[in-house]
Amino acid sequence: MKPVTPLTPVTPKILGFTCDWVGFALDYAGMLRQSYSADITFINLRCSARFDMTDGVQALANGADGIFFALCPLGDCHYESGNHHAVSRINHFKELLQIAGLNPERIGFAHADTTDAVGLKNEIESFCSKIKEIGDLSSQVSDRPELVSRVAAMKRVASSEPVRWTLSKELELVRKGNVFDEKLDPQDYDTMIKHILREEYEKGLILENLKEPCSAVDVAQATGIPAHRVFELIVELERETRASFDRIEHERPLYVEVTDG
Amino acid sequence: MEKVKIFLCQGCELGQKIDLEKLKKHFNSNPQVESIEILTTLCDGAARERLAGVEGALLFGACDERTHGVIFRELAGSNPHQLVNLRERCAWVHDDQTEATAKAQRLLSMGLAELSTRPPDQAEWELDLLHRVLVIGAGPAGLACVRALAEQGCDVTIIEKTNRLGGTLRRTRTVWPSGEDSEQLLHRLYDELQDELHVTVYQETELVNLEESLHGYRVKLSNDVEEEVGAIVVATGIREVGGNLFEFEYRWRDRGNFRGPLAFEVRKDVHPFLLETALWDAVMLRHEKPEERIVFFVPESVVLPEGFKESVEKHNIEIIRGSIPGGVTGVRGVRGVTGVTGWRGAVVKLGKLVGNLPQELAQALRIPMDKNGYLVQRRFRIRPRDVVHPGIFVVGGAHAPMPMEETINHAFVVAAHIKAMFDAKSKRLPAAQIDEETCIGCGYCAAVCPYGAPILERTDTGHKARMSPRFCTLCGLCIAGCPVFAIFDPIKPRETIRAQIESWGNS
Repeated sequence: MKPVTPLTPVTPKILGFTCDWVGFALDYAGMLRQSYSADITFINLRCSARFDMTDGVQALANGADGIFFALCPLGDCHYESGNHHAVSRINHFKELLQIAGLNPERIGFAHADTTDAVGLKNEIESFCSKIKEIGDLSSQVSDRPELVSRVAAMKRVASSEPVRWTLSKELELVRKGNVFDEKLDPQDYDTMIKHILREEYEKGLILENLKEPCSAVDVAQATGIPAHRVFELIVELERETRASFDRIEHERPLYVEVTDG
Repeated sequence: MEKVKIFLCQGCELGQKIDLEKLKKHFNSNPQVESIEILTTLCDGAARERLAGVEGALLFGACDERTHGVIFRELAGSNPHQLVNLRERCAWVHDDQTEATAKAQRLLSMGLAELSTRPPDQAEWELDLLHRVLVIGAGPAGLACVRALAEQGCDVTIIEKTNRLGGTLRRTRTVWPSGEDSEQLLHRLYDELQDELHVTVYQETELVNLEESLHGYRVKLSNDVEEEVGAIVVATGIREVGGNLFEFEYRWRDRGNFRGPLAFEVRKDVHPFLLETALWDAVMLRHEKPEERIVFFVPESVVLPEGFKESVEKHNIEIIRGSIPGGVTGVRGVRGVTGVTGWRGAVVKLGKLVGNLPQELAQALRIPMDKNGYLVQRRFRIRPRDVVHPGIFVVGGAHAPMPMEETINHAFVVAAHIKAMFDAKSKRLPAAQIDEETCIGCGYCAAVCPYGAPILERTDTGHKARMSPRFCTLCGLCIAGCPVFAIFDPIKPRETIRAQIESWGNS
């Protein structure tokens, strides 16, 4: 019997990230006694550009039902362009959530001036009530192990080199242009990132299932990805030396993940 | 791992809004915590007495860094400490005591995680600069800056591209808006300079190479002089693009060179500064030539500055809305009067004033410039002395447009700031560190950093990034974006953020 989880949790767990400067606005909200929901707890980063997708996935793995970002107004970053990068990273993190079948609305952000304590408080309040409506993260998936494997796959995506590289280079390639002085089309680039995110996510899911030797058909059953696609990706993983052929059992080849150690 | 002593403050409603006894009970069972103590307030003498002689890692649950950070730094002394803001982030914003206590518990365990995973050494990097300054450009700003610096006992080297000192002052007749004679001003600046022993002047010299060194910059000049300086002042002055106002002023200096009617041709996007300068010139001219016809051709879309119309009418100068009929052909200079159709007379075009900062120099000194040649500097009106980078300053006309008086005052302000910087040994955050073995030399950090701190270098094992401690502000942009996690934050490393998230999840 599966434990029955309540559909709407009494207290959602929300993690907030703020840069040191918007942190002043939070402190100011405190001075003005602008009370907001106690479900949200903020972590201070020096600049919002310090946010890394791996941190977001880490938060989900630690039971966050929502993640909120308090950013400086665009064009008013204390480190020139940090919040532009942060916004692009947050948007791609949302895309990753969507790919993983989770509600991207769980990620929210707001721009606030250092003196705009009331505005920031309102944004926090509306985000917290939205998360309360959406409900517990685990209520979205059938069972807990399913969520764990999805989050683990997301973690692999967030720390994979090609994904990080394409995400990081986006603003440079789209706004400044590449070495040939060609600016890439933002929509094309976005589509490409989505494609890479999806592919890496699928690879991550497959690798999660290849911790023990397993055949492509079994992986397809466990992950819900079509078998031919699983096989394609396993071949690619073999080429990248992230997975390898293990043995043949019942006339089916078994594959296993290659670990560094 | 060293055990942590927690001190909680009861003041500022913390005692009423948060159940501190419950927190005490909770953290007493934590294996990381050695002791937890509740004090009446942490910012008074009693707390100071209590904490005197206490050693080990300290965690304070009190108020915010901005208002009380100094007090807690003093309280902790040389011990590693962490301040958790239970006041603005918890007690003052949550009315329900149970909720506030739960949140305070989360905040404290996050603080505990940060304190226990933070690298021990986070000494601030000290700028120990040589008391020697290189000034590039011997215009009014450069000369004024040199004078002020030399008076304060700094050794100064000044380099000038041309063979004459004076810059813009050589090209204008009077200084706007004070009306002082340019030549007089130049002599005033230069004569005082000649008595100074600390000043070396190199003419027809340019900056060839620049390297960062421990105590400043190692510079190489085109006359083969190499020296190490603590600060560099860029005073390359102002440049006129697409106009001939400077030429007009220069020609007009020798009075006989100018005769006949005169037109000022105004662009659509004229800067009000330039319009006022031109008006000043026109009024001066009117005093000397009461009979001559002087006309401003101003496009319809240009909004004239306040009082412009009145002073024009007062001095019998015409304003014609629109461009010169038939356009300007033939000799476009101010000297020639013939060969001009449409307007039979001399034409002064008002162009654009931009900073005279060559792109290579700006790149070498990492001064941000936009496409039009303007200096990118934020909050200039609020903090005019603000440095672009530690040890590099831009003064005067390079901030174009800037009136002469402001230029000279700006030079004095910057000189004072340099002296203060030399004396105070200003402290900075440590720089991000790059692990050379992990680095794949992709160049992401070098491309993305707005301060140009990481530099891509060719080594035996391929390209590697190197971080310049002088320029890094530790914003974390490259740290979060590095594809291979090769960049390390010495104050809040990745592990700390992860530990914070974990402790948040567990509590």
